[in-house]
Parts: sequence; C-alpha cells; structure tokens
Amino acid sequence: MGRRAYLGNLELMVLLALIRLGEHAYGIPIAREIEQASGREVVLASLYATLERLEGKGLVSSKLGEPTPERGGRAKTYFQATAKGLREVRITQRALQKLWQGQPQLEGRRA
Amino acid sequence: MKSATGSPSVATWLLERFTFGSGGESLIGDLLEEYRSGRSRAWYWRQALTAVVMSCAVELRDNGLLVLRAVTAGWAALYLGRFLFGSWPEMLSSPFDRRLPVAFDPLGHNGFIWWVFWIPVTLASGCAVGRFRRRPRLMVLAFSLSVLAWELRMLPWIFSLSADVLSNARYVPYLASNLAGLILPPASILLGGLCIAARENGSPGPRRPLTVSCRTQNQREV
Repeated sequence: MGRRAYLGNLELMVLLALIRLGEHAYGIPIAREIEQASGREVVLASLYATLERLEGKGLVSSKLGEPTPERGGRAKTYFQATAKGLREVRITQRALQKLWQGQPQLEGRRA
Repeated sequence: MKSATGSPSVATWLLERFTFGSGGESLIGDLLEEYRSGRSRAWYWRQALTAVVMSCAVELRDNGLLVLRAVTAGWAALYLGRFLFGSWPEMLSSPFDRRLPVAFDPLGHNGFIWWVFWIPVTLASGCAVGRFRRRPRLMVLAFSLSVLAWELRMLPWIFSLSADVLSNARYVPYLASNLAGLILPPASILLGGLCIAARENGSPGPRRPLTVSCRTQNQREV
C-alpha cells in the first residue's frame, strides 16, 4: 500500500462544500455551507489555511475575481475542487463507508 | 473607531499588517462583506484576532531562523543604546535630583529623564529590525513580543502594587510607572519598526503567496 496523505476532517468538509457550490465558491459561501451542515461556527482564517493547504496538495485550484466596493475594494478568491481532489474525496468516502458497515452502535439514531 | 468601510478600523489595521500570504486580502474582503451584511463587531474582532494569531504563528514557525536573527539584532541594538546612553540620565539629572514631581519619578531613580533617553533607544532598535528585507513587520512583532515577555517578569510586582493601590492611593504613581515600564518599550519598538517597515516596503505592502507547509497536518494524522 502506497503512502498517501489522509484528508483531515475540515479538509474533507471543505472539499465537499466546494463540490456542492460549484464554480461560485469563495470564503463566505463555503463557511456557510459547512456551518449549516455541522452546526458550528467556522473561523474564516482556519478555512483559508485549509484551502491553501489543499491547493498546495493539488486538490483545489483558485482564481482571483474582481474587486468590489462592499468588500473594501478587495477581490474574491474563487476555489474549485480539481480532478485529483474529487478522486481523494471518493477514496475517503469508500474508506469511511467500509468502516461504517456492520457497526450496530452507529446504525440507530442515538449514539 | 470605524473605518471608511464601517468596520472596526483597529481590527482591519491589524489584519492588513499582520496577516501574511495570498489569502489575506480575500479574507479581509470576506470579513468586511459579512460585517456589512449584519455580523456584530464582536464577531469581526474575534475573526480578525484569530486570523492574526494564526497567521503570525504559522509565519514565526516557518521563518524560525530569520526570527532568531531579528530578535538577536534587536536586543543587540537595545544593549548598544543602553551602553552608549545608560549613564546620561543620571549625569544630566543630578542637579535636579529630588525636585522632579513624584508622578514622573516615584522611585527616585530619575525615571522621567530615564524615559526621555530610553524611549528613543527602543524606537531606534525597532527601526533597526524594521529594516529587515524579508517579512519586516513579522520581525518587528517578534522582537516586540520578546521584549514584552522579558518585561512580564515585573507582573508579580505590578499585581502586588495593584493590591496596595486599593488600600492606599499613594501607590498610584508607582503603579503607573511600572505599567509604563511594561507597555512603553514593546509599544515604541512596534511603532518605530512598523513606521520603517511601511516606509521601506509600502503600507501594508504587496502580498506574496503563502507557502503553507503541507506536511505538518499529514504527519500528525498518519
């Protein structure tokens, strides 16, 4: 078995949010998507750190948008999951599903 | 205090100077956009301070050797200043000894005249570190934090004085003098260093892409 990096919890959630949002994904919508799913507040700084780490691994690509006045003249950075990113999510999904199967404690509604 | 965009200006100022990397500008834009859409000041401050602490921690870790050099250079400048000017306050103040108001000289050690010399020395040491070519603002911050850490040795004494002040107002000047000794040196280092860094590199300066080390999280997880 080759040495591969596992996706962290936030990394996986960010990649899934990017897949759901498509090409209009930037900081705020990504944070909202994760907040709605997890019910926890997302610190934007840790979100950007995660996105930059994923970009460094080649799992995410980014492009700069136009500066807008409501952002104090600052541009949005749009993010998108790359083909490698999608493959990593599928691999992680399969691994998690295998670990999930046959666990009676995890099948009911209560933990 | 609010900026032209309506956001807390001090928090935005901190973000502009102490977040590093390509994501910094977009992060500030996102925070402003969210603040304008109804988020609270507390939320903005919490997000801004977290961003500053995270960004500085990553940069300090990734530039350890450079930080060490900057802190050493800063302390060397401080000691040089102390060596050159350390005896001047005593020489100059001897004719006026015991005539200074107690607020300026509560301990009878020529405190006021000492500060007149010491503040420019700390400013100059900050300026020396601010001239670093790579990450000057980060270097100034690291040097200032190292001085603050050294000054924190006075905290037990300051706590003791605070308790004394509650029982006797006579100790207020002593407490003020010690608090000034705690805050003024790191603050003047920051002031001098950031002014020079802004002048040399533009304010707050173009950002270059952040080099995030991908191995750290993977190593922790594997």
